[in-house]
Amino acid sequence: MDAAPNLEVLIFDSSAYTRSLLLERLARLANCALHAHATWTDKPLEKLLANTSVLLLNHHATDAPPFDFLRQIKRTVPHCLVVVVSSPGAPRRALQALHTEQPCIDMLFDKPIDLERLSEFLTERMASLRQQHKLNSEHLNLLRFLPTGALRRIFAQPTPGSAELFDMTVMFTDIRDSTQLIVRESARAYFANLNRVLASQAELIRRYDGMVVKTTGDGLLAVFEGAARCHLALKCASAIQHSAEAKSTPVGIGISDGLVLTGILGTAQHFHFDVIGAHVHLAARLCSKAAAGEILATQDVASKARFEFASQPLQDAIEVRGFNQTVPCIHIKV
Amino acid sequence: MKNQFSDAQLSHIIDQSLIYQCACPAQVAKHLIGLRELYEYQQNCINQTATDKAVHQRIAADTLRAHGALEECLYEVLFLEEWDMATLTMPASLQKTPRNF
Repeated sequence: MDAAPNLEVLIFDSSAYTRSLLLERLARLANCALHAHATWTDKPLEKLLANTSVLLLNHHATDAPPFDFLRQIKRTVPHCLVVVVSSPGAPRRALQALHTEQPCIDMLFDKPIDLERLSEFLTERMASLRQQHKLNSEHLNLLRFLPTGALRRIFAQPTPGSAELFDMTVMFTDIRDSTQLIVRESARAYFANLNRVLASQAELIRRYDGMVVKTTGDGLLAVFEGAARCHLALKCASAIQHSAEAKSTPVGIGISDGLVLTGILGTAQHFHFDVIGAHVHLAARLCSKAAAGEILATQDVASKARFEFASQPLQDAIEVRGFNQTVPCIHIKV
Repeated sequence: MKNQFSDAQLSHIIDQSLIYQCACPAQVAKHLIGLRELYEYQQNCINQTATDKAVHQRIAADTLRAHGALEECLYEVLFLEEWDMATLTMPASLQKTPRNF
């Protein structure tokens, strides 16, 4: 079962007496952390409100008008639920007018208040906020599985077997001599190290606007889209080879560019995004030939990249099914 | 409308009685504010017919009577509860002592 997130409730009340009453009564609310202050004027508001889900202001007629404060809250933390308790009459009318002019109060209670009603209201709204937080978190997690850029339109109709052709740069990475590493370390330690290396690569791929399609055992398959895709892929490959993780766990990288079929494979119960095609095979082949710390790419990728780097032609002829003749490739020095 | 307590004084009384359970003077003060709002509201009504005028006069007269009676009531209640009549401050003996704080 998911643990309910702990929501922070911030109380502002200039009277120590009523502040303590509110703290006492609201302490019964489940899964929330209460914080109370006499005033907001001597505190850095952004820091104070950073984790606040609910703000409760018990406004006294003798307090300074809270108008700027309430406006600032909605500007700083628009998701924060703002509840104000005020005396009826002039104070309430002033707050009501402010809210009409610029909505900044989610609920206005008249004093004296029925604390049962206030507690019920807060309980209900906090349950709704928790549900919203949970959905946001799930949404963010789901986005991590989804393709980026133009590829995302495939998910408008996620039908297994549907596919589209895209011009893409395909990059494979693979840890060199992983068998020796597995033998040398415990399986658990190897797995943790593998995750660290792949996470670092994935971070760099995202930084260079690429997308991780999948992990491939000891490496990753990633694609880059757009006019600068070859340039970005080579810069990314270079960054991966220069990373601290690659120094301790060397990898080989293969890169190719061309038309790739992208789509969804699987059944209605389980499916995943994938890319297939001759250039995927070619990039995989180049990756398998790349030594530790090496980047092998097609000459085509290097020409399109407009990227200043030292390279030398690859002596071995690379033959891949789907290509009529051998593909000129280069070895990039990083 | 002649007032024994100003709007600000009524708000001050209400502010000290946050919750229902210890808010008798605040409840009276709240209704006084309500009566003042009613009086002000009907004062701004348009008298198009003789009936309108009679209705508004009746409301005004009764509102004033009720307001006067409730102000007297509030004064007596505050006196009985031993509020500080100069500052309209609730006596400490009436304040609930919150637990665990």
